[in-house]
Amino acid sequence: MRKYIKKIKGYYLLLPSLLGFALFFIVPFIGGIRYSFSVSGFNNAFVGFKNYKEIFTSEAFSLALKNTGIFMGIAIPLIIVISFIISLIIHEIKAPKLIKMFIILPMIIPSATVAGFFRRIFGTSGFNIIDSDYAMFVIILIFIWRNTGYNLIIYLAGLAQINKEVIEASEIDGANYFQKLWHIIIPLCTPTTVFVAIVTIINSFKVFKDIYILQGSYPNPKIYMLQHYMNNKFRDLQYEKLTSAAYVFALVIFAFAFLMFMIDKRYAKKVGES
Amino acid sequence: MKRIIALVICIIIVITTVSCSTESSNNINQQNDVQNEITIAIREMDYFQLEGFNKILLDYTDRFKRENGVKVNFDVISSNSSDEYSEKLNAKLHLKDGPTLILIPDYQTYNTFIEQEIGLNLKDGVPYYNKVYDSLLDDSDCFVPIGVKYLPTVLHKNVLDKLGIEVPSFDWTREDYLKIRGKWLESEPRNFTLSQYWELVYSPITELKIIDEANKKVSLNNPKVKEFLKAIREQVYSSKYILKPEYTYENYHNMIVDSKSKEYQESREYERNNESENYTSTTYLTNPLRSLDTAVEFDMVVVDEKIVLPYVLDSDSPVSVWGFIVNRNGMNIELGLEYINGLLSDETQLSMFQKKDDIYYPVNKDIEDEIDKIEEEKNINKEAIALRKYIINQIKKGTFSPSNQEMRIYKKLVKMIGSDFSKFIFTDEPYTDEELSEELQKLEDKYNMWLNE
Repeated sequence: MRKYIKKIKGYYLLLPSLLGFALFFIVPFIGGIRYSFSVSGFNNAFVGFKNYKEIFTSEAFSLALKNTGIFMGIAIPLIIVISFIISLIIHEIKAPKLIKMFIILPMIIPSATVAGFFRRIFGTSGFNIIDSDYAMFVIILIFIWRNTGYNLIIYLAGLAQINKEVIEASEIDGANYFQKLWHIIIPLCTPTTVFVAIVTIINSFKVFKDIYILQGSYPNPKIYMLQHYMNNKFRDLQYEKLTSAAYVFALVIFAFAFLMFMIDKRYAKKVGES
Repeated sequence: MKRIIALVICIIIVITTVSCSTESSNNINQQNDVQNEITIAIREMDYFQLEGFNKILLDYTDRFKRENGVKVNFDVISSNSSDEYSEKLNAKLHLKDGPTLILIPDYQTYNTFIEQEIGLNLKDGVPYYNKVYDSLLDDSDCFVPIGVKYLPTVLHKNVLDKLGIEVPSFDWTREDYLKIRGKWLESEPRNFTLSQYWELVYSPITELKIIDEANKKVSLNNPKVKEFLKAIREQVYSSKYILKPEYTYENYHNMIVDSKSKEYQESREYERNNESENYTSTTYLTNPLRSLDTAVEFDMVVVDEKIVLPYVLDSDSPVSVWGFIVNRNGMNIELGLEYINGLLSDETQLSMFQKKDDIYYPVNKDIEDEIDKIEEEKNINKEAIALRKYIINQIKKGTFSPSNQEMRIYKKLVKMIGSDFSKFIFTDEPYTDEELSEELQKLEDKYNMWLNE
């Protein structure tokens, strides 16, 4: 009996979190499917895949999907690489806390301040890139500037966990720094990288706030994202299109997360594995 | 220790689950209260203006509560922007027994509520619905207007006298207006301000029919628009306007696009300080349909006498209404319909006309004779009466539909197009025909995408 109680105790402790997660995420996620197959948010008549067909033929949705894909395809790998390099440097040189603080600081600056700052530099009174075809560059810059600090914290923790004996053993075997990096540090950091990638994807959704403050509901088409499309649909009470777009996006994210886990499974090395 | 923590958590979960599902005897009383209650969803800034601009709603609500024993709640929604307000309101509309009525102010469009089947058809549910002027009603019969406002064109008499122009009569035309503007510009060079820009650009955009609302289509890449841009550029750089020598395209763009920019602030300040030298007035706020109010102003002898005339500049509607949409998912819809019906009654509508703390005119066409009687009894300025009747005739003829019936995005689009045009008007080097075609096509594609989002 005691063994049984000991076994299920853990589940009881998890229960509040699981209940909350189910109530606020799983249930709405499943419940929203109904809207995507209905005439509208206020008329439940079943229409099959009509809403999905309409969004895929919508120029605005296609543009939003393309821009979001470009943004995530460039910004996420870039920020992962930059955060890793900076964390490696900080880890190696044992940089003072002040430097870490300055890198992390942009995370806590309000979006309105960030938008105002970037508008001054890249808006009409500055280089005027926000209204041009290269506006995506500004958005990627904002994203990297704001979120590198967050990834830095995770990577520093990951690097601190690497067993020093493995590094010392490789040094004894005559490995140079780049060989250590390629064969030991990066593989051992793969689980951390997968976690950073997933967290970065989640943080990438927040860039919509900065673009919205910069340019409103209908920005420069080059930076019109999926969140703009969904936000506009919510404002216009078109819940059927909103949920359809959200599920398409969720599928893309699931596919990406699955890819990350496969990479983790394949390339992550444990100590002692050949 | 771990056992104690686990036990405490289990107890908390049990208590929470039980308390959420228990029905108490209080619920029966609560249900009775809810049956005698309606809720009106209203934006915070509109709610705070009711006392000064729409007192009839507050007074009628008090009377309705007293006479019917019904609780009327105002669900005041605070927001920093119209988009934020829409999002907060939309979240409430999804609730079972959500707000009964949605107050639509005179500056807001309501098509979204009708297209998404939120509004209830009111024709049969509101007996007094047929008392409303036909041109103010919507084809869907899901919106009921309660009060109407009209935006006139107001001229400064002293400026007309200086120009040697006679005061136009009510049946003046757009050409008369443009003649006055032309003569004003020719008399001496004028400082180029933001208002001057929008005067040059806004009306022609609507007159060129660039936006086809019915077919959701924008047409920019055509000879009409190119000629228009060329003509505007020539006008701006003619001797009619004084341009700031230090200003480049960026300065003008800031002035037009960014309301927080230094250029915008400077332009607005100049306009405020030099209002009386302009041929039109932008500070006149009285609804010319409210003859009791306009009569008082017409009787006053003032230095900068204002001439109030019907709007003629373009096909943009000067008529706007405030009213209600009934939420089909709302609580106590029958009571909500009764509430609206009372607002349309002869007595309430007449009271609106006479109330000092109100800026709207009645929508009830059956009380016109009563209004005539009131005007005669008070022996008010005949010109004010004539103006009211002229405008009412326009409303009866259906010359204008309320601007609330426009597409939600329409005015936004016109402003966006006008802002984008600044690029072609203030550019240092004029665009060639091919370059202009390319740019206009890009804009056209962009706006068609927004329109059909």
